[in-house]
Amino acid sequence: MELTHSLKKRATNMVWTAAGRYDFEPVYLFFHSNNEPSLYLNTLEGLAYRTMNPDILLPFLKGLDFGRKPEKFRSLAQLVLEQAVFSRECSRRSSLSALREEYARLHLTEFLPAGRYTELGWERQALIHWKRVLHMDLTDFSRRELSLADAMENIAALPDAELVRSTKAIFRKYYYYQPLDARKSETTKFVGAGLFLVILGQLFSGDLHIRLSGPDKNSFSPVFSRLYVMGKHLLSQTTAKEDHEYMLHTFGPCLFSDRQMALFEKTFCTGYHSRSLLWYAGATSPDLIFGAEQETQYRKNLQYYQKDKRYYERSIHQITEHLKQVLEEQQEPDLVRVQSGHLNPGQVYRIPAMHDLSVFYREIIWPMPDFTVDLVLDASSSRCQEQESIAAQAYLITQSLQELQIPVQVTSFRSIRGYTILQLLKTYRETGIADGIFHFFTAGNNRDGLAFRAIRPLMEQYDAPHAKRIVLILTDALPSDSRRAASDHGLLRGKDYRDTLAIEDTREAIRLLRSEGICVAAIFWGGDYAVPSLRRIYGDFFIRIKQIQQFPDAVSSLMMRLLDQMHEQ
Amino acid sequence: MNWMDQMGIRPELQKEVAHFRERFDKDTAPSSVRDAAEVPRFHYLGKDIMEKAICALLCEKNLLLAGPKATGKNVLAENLAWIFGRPCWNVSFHVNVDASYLIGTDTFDGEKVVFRPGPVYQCARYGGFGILDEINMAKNEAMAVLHATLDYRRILEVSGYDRIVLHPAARFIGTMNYGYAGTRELNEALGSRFLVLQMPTISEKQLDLLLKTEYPEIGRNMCRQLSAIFYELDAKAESAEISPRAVDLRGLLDAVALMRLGLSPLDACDMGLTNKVFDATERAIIHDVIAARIPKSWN
Repeated sequence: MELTHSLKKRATNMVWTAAGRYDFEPVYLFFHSNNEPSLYLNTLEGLAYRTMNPDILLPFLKGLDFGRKPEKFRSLAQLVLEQAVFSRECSRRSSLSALREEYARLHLTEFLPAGRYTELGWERQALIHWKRVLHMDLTDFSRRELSLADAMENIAALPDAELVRSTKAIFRKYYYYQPLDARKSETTKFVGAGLFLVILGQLFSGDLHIRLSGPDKNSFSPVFSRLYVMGKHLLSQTTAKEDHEYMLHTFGPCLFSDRQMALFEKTFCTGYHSRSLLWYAGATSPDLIFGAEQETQYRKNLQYYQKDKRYYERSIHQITEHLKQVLEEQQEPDLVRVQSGHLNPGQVYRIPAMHDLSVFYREIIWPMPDFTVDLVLDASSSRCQEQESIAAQAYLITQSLQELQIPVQVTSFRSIRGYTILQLLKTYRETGIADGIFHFFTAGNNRDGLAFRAIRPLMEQYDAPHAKRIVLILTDALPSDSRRAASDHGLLRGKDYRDTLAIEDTREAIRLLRSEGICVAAIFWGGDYAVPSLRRIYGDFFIRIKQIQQFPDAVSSLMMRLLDQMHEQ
Repeated sequence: MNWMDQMGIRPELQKEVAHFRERFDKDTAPSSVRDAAEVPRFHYLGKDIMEKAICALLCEKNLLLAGPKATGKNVLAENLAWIFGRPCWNVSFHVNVDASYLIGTDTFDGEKVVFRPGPVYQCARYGGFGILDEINMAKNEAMAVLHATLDYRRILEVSGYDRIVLHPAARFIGTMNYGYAGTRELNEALGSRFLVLQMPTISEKQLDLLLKTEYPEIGRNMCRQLSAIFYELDAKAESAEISPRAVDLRGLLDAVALMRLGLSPLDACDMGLTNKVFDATERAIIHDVIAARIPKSWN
């Protein structure tokens, strides 16, 4: 049998069940030679998590790894631990003795003849151990071997600290055991450099840069590159042409033609945004500097996701299951009155009374899903500490919806040098693994009001599969841009685009989207500070998440509300 | 009433319930329509929840019992109808529930069109307890017909026929499991017409008592292991490792019934719990939970 994902899932679940906790990844997973998970050993490991102190146990086990013959000492320690956990738990779990004997039998049949192993080899200690469990004859073993087995068995009832101390003493007595200290982590030498990078990162936090959320050794090159970029572009008073060139180099060619862009800017860049410009970009940057930074952030986003992949996979499954139920419910057949079909007894009176023969009904099922989802990510510098988690959340939502065949498009937005850039990370047409989302990075400001108005061309760029639309926005609801809001009077200097002005402008943009029949909602992960502006901009259609564990439930419930709203429209 | 004593329900509440019964005892539905609620199959075991529910009903309010699977929502609703000595109508909600399903519909009796009353109508007329089971399965717009029935107006508009004022003993008890297959969020207008009780998951002590009450011959150890299986499956469903289908108290009790007839505990639990899930990996995980608790040798 191949060691599949589902077998690993089973083994992990055995450990979690016994531990009574689900917030850790087991250090070991045990399988039989046919790859079937070992119920006994995995349960025992879970019980060890429940009954033993990891602060005492883990340093001991790690110490074994750094000593001589780690495999031998680890296996012997496992025998001691097996005995210890079993003695502590057997009275509480009726099945433990039977499972232990079953495992011992299996172990002995899988084992090679005892005579093959040298005296005091750990394999012979395992033989003694499991034979004892089955009350088998032990005359083949020497007195010294049996005395070691006795010693290991006798310490099983001791408390954790004494158990570890006594195990070490036994190992020293029988094997001259001398564990080495765990080597100092190589990562410590990067601490100084890391601090340096953090400081630099804070220095260069203008509206230009991709912010790396945590330092690593690969960050040197982009950070130094920033100095160059700073000098060349940011601090200079650039001309319109230079800005345009900069957009082209940094974000790649605009997705729309000049003619189309002129039309979009005429439509959307009005009022407060009359001096702003738009740029629609693809997922990756062709620019050497930005490209390198983006690539670094891509790797970080991916690593962040991989680290908790199991959690995210579970969450995707959970959201998918919830939404499937809602969609199935909405897929209930419509009953249409007809003159032949299933008889509707409640309507039969209409035949004699009204000569109406439409007393039958027919079920008509409408095709589903009949809507698209646009996921819009705030990619301004203010989110730089959360960019990996935003990418993971966006990926989670996207994959969940895609599982249900719902077309999803993902767009991030930011404002730099007067341009509001909408970057398409995934289109409706891409239906496989949406790893384009991991190209998400933060930089610049967020002129939300303009971004939400200007998103329409992207939504309509391709033949949208469905007319009904949902827009989900991952935001901190704090719109702000270094470029001022244009004043109605051309001669006057406009006000800052932030606080109430920006919030009201964003609210108006959301109202416009809703007036076109688009359901809009926001998802915010963070503290209370953003709630008033979230409520002002999005009304009741937002969710605030305080812990990532709430995310799947919150997203499901928000989607259910949006689907209900859309269904009622 | 002895049972309420055993539960430890406050004497003043017991007195109020007795007063309610005295007041409406003679005023009940004709036996051709519905008998008063019979002694329920299970007794609800949570004293606090029971007292809160009694208070709400004595105050002439409707009650919404919200909680996950296996929290005893229906058991409590039936117990309440029995305690108050009222006939009860059980209405199972589904996505196609509409006004005619709840209130009644026109039908042809061979000579003329007549009104065939629905469960809500009968409840209102005869002062029954209407158990609106899985109320959030229905579409919110279908429930709008009950708004006037459930709020202070206590009236029921029977379109084309009559408007009836609710019998003073009539009460409605909704049950809902948020997040259960096919459920939706109750809209504010409907939700505000109920007092809501969040039903706690059955406690270990209560589960133990339930198993022993139902199957007095069950051994202490078996009882402990079965109860542990139930909570371990519950934790697994909470962590989204398995679907909540297997966290099935009814299934657990059914398994004990099978054991009584000689089926091995492992097989009985598989029938009552494991096989309710159709995904092979989930089934294996659930079986592992049971096998880690119940030895094969047990009979």
